[in-house]
Amino acid sequence: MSQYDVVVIGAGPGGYVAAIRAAQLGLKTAVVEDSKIAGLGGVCNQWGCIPSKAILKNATVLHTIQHAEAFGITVDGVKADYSKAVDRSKKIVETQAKGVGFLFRKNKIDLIEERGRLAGKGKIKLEPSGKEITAKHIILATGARPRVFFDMKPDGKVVFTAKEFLSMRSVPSSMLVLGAGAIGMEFAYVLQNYGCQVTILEMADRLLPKEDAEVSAEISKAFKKLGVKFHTKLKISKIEQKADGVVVHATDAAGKPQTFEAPRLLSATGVMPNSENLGLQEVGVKTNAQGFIEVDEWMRTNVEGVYAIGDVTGKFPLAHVASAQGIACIEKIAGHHPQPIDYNKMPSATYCEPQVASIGLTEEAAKAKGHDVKVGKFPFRPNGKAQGIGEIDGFIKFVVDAKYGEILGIHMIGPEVTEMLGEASLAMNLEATAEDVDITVHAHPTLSEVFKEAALAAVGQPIHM
Amino acid sequence: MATNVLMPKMGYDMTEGKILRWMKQEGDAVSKGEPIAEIQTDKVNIEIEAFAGGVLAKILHGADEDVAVGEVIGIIADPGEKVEAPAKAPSAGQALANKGSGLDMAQSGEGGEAVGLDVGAGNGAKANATVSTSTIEEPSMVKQANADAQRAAEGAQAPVRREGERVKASPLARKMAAGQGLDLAEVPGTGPGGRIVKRDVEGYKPVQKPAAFVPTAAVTEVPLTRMRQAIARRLSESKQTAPHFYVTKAIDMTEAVAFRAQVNQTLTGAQKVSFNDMVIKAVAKALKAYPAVNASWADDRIVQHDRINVGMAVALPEGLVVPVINDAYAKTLSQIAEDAKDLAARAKENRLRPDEFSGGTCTVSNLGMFDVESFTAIINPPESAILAVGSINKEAVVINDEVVVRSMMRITISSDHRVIDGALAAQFLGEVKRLLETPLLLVV
Repeated sequence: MSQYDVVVIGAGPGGYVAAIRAAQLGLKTAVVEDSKIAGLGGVCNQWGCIPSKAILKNATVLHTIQHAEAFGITVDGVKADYSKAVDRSKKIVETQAKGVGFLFRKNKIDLIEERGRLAGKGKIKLEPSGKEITAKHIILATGARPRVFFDMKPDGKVVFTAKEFLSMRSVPSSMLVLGAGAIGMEFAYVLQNYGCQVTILEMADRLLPKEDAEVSAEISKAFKKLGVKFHTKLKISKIEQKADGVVVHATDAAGKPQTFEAPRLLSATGVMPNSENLGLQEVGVKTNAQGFIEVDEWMRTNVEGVYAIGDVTGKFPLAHVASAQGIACIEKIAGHHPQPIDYNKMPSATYCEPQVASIGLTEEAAKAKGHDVKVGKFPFRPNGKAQGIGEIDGFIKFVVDAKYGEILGIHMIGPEVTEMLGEASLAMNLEATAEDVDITVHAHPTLSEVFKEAALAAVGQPIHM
Repeated sequence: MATNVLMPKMGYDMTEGKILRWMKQEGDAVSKGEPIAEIQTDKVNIEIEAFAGGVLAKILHGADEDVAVGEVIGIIADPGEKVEAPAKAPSAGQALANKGSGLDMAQSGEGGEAVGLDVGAGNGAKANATVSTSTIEEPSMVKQANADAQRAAEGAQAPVRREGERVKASPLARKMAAGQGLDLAEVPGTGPGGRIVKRDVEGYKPVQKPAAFVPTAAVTEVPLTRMRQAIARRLSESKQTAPHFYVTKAIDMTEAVAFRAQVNQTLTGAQKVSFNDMVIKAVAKALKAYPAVNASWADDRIVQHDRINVGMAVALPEGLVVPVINDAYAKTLSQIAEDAKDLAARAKENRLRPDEFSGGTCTVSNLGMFDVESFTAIINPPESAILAVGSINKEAVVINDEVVVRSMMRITISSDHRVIDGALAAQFLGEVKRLLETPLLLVV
């Protein structure tokens, strides 16, 4: 029977990062991962962040070629084989998974390719082998999976979740996308560029409902221009999954019945936790009504020696949040003094074009919390670099507390704004004020000048307006 | 071997000192014990002497610079030895942490009525006027190592900000502290490496302090001297922490006036006795009779002092200082007179040695020269009493049912009620009165 200091169940961005940190801190560590479920890198790598970014790049390349005339370049006879985009993404996934495997070996982490299940204090039963291993600290990092409503059965033929979608090798003439969150928006962007007529169906009042309302308005304009159809404030009553397509029955905001038909439907309506078959009930680990594992600020469950990180905790279903939780959890276990995670400062990104990136409170949320809000907004249009690359849509918006210039949130839509999240996160994490961002010299000509101008707009008068 | 020259700590409330001048330049040979620099504290100017012989290899802080206590100001090395400036000075000072400090106020008038303002000196270990760098360095290095080890053990959770250390704070925390008038140095930081972040400022409960003065009209801003800062800090602390109460007695000085005139006929020069000298002597004798007054509050106990060291407040143009007449009980009146004149003169030239303004156990403050009838003074911590002496005036008083003219003087004692109760203060002051009204008792 093998004995470990730390055993992590799940090799996603929460689990594998936690395992590496544990090994680095001298803890004897193993990761239990059933590759039949997700494989190394978890959902993020296997059928999430990584392959979708590869396919999105294909879509943007295709988009650029299709609009090459704007640069005075005439391109004839463009052929875009979607299956090749999928092949390309699979190769990248493989490379990334190998990278995780390499890091495990380098850090002497045992990879146990089985299913793990809690079997009493400090014990994990492995399936199918039936062996048992022990660990002083068990970290549940089992993630989440798409939540599907209306009794749909994702079959990879008519109904898809992100998982099936990333193996879909052809683009249909039209497709319904259920949910206008990051996943729905990204795949809608891919499909539309590959010649599919996309219709987005959303229950909330706008696209990207978690983003700032002005960002939603801007992305709506861009999607309209792209040709994507979308309906918000929909009440869906029934979805018929047929052999050759789906029919969605709904009522619109005005109370009028609407039906939407398409040969395929992508369901992108959030996630549910992988908290079953883990032995949680047997050892008494508490979960909430949706099945997410309840943890404290250091990711401890109510059972001593059992921790949970990542999507299974239901905080933010984002890879970087899982990693941050994993590191904080391990460092606490190792007796270090990590900083607690500030969930108000978690960046998020959506990779359609224009890109959407944000951190912190929206203007609306900041006002609702009682802040005396000042907003600084600056568009990409006057920016020289944006003009040069021909991507002038979008803006950056600072939401600032008037009293001390505290940055409450930064909301960005436009070219490469996801890459500016680093600066936004750094500024907020180090508690820079809008004034500090303003007095920071940003290189010219860069898109990041817009970032500085937006900060300046919040505390004074922007220069290039 | 290179030896660091540190900014010495010359009193428990000293946090930084100013370098007045370097008496040696970089490259100059120095011998052990030789004065190499002169520094100014909030009370005095002092020479620092070389602990080790060699060459003054580096001067890290030049003249007119303010330097935190314990910080390295220069390095003495062997000839030809290469030295590097230390990244961070070890916090020294504490090793020498002499508990006393001179303070504030008053002076004895020559001949006529003595004068004074407020407040006196501290008590405790003795500091040397010229400070040998090593006496600070060695214990402090050990202390530092211990602190570092402890810090490592505790991790970043409980950062210990050392004296003179840069205050690490986020820009937002700085703005919030500025907006709320908080001194960031007092806020414990919980961010990475002890950085002060928003939550620390939000969660900080400041010690009650009076609101900062906000000018409303045209004003002239006067920068604070070190002495002014020390007066502000020490006396605010005293008045806020020590519960003061006051007892006043009118003292018939008619006999004392005659006594003084008589003895001064035969005494010469510095030996001539002032009224303030007589008050000091009387206070010293009364302290001997009432040792409970010669005491300090020490939070969990009261400390009675064996020595009777009477401070005398000396007014200076920029503030005041309280030189101390040590063992005043054991000194004759003319010895006290000589000491007082010497101390007052050197106080005015900023030439007092630290041990001359520290270690007081009770203070006399005299405003008689300003024709002040009576006043109250603020206790000079850690003492428990201060006597405020007024002018001597001829008054009509009733003695044996007769109205007669007598020379009257009022003394008000301010007492720390934690240490001294009303009856004790009254008895003590009664003893001072008895001694002054029968001045021959001062010489027996």
